Amino acid sequence: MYSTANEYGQTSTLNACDRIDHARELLETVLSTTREDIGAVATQFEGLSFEVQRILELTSPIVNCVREDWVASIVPMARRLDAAARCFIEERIESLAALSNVFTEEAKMLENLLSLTAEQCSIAREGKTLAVLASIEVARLGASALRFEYMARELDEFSSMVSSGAEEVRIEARQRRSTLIDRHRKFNLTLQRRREHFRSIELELGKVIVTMNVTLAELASIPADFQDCAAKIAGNIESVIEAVQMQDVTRQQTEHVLDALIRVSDEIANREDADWDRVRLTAILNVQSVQIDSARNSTRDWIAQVNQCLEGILRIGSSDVVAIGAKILAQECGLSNQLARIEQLQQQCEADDAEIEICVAGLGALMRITRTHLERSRLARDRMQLLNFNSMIEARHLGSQASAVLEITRNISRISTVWSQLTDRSGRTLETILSSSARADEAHRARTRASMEALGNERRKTRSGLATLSQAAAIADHNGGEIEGAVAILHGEISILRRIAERLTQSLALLFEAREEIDRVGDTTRSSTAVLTSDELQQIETECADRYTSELERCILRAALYGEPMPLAGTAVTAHEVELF
Amino acid sequence: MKKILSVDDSAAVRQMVSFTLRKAGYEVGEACDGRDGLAKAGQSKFDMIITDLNMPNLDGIQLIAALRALPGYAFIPILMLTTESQSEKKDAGRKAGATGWIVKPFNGDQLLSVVQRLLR
Repeated sequence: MYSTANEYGQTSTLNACDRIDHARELLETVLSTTREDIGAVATQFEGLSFEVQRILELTSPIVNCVREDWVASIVPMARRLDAAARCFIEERIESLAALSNVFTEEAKMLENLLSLTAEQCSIAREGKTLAVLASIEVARLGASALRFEYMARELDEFSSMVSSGAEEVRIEARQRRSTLIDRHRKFNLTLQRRREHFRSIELELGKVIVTMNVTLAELASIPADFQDCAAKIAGNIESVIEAVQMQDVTRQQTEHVLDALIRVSDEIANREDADWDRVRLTAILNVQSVQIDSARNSTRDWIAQVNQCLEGILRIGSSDVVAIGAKILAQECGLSNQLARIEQLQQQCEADDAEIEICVAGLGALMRITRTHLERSRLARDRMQLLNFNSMIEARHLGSQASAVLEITRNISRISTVWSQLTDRSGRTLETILSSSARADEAHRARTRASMEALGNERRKTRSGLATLSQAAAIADHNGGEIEGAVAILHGEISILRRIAERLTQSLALLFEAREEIDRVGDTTRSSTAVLTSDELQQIETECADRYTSELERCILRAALYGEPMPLAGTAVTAHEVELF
Repeated sequence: MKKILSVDDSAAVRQMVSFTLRKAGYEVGEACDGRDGLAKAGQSKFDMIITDLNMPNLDGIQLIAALRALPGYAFIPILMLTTESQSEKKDAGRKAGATGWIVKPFNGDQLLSVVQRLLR
């Protein structure tokens, strides 16, 4: 019982006991709710930890496939593929454009041929005329010109042979000329389409390479990120284990304050008033107030540790590490598509080659006819030269009777010379056709064959180099559903833990209120004049410390009684201390 | 597989000890106070005991002394895991037969390191 200076005597005592009782109720509520909640935290946390471990185990084989050295080799491989594809495309376009010249040359060649054969037909007609004239002279001269008769036949045969051969060539040449424009137009259309197609492939390849560079740079960092992630998770798990244990320390701290309040309450209710009692009880209450403050700070800190752990694990759930599977799948899909496009490109080019061959082969028929005609022309030339020689002999033999024959002979000579020149020109024309088309075809084949082979090699190397990526993609595909499921469970567990942490936070307010109540009692009992002696302080220290179970409480006790430094909030002073006996 | 008994009146602490040890491959039993711990040790053979100090119904020191008297428990490692760090308490623990003393909160890696060392 206190006698106070105010008129409220009895009321003041009851108020102090009421306040202490209220503080005790608050502390008991804190103890029971935090015991339940921390138990729930421990249970949920085990489940959470299991899911996190599962995610790491499911992700680990994918991450292992993405080794830094492998990733570093993929980009150069992809660049070589890109370079080979671009080289192939460039050479293809150039050689196709060069093939276009074949049509121009073919046009010239056809005109040349037609001109040649026109001249040959003209010669054939002359020959025919000479044959007729020769026949007339043979008839006029009678028996003396019998040996000249064969010349007339020779001339006739020459004329027929030449004109039929030339006509055959002319028909073929005209037919090719009539289709030339259409063929050239179709070829140009094909060329244009190919150019556009190649350009779009080049653009696509360029984009793929850029995307691949970015993605592979991200992938390259993932193994290290994964290690970092796993280490952070381990750290987070450690911090929750520590937080749960710190709650045990604050629990004991709170229980000891509760015991002290019961004793103080009993003392206030039972003892007669004395100044030193009031001062002593004030000191004891002050110690309890400081202990509660420490418990409150510790509680706040371990709740924060739990929340921090949850945030960390939540980040893992949405991190690149967990999403690696989806990235690898996308990357593998993108690269496979590009390889398929390149393969398609090569197949299309092979189909084009078949078309070009047909285009070029058409010339072959013309060349065969022209060659045959040339051979016949050479034969005719030789016969004409023989005829020329024989006709001169016969003309001499006939002497003055054969002035007309002589004239015919001179014309035969002229025809023979012209024919020889035409034959030579035909030969040169044919050689030009042969060499230019062979050059174009060979150049096209040779150039594009080399670059097509190079492209095929790079494509095969890239395909085999991507085997690891494909393997990772297969694992990602297989594990992806499970990883998603585990992440969803993770989120569920984290939500529950967050709600528990929020409830735990409410205990902070209760602790604060309990401390306020104790402080108010202390305010009413405090004396402005009386001071405790050192013996009395030691007695209080012994009385309080007797029940304490941690160095933290003892440090706080000494801080409250003697003004020693207060230990840092949230620490157990001697935490982690290990001693083996 | 080595078997360890965790004795603590705080369920949450027992859970954390069990969680840490099970992850490392140990089989773990739990007891909620000294009396429960003594009973469980009698029913099943454990390779190590980890016990709190301040518990109702037989505190940690009393438990260790009783365990040392049980057949098969004279030499098995017994660790004290407690908030206490006073040298008087440690001495009492050593005299009772404790093998080692860890102050809470424990660090998981540290606990495992001590356990592995003592069970070798």
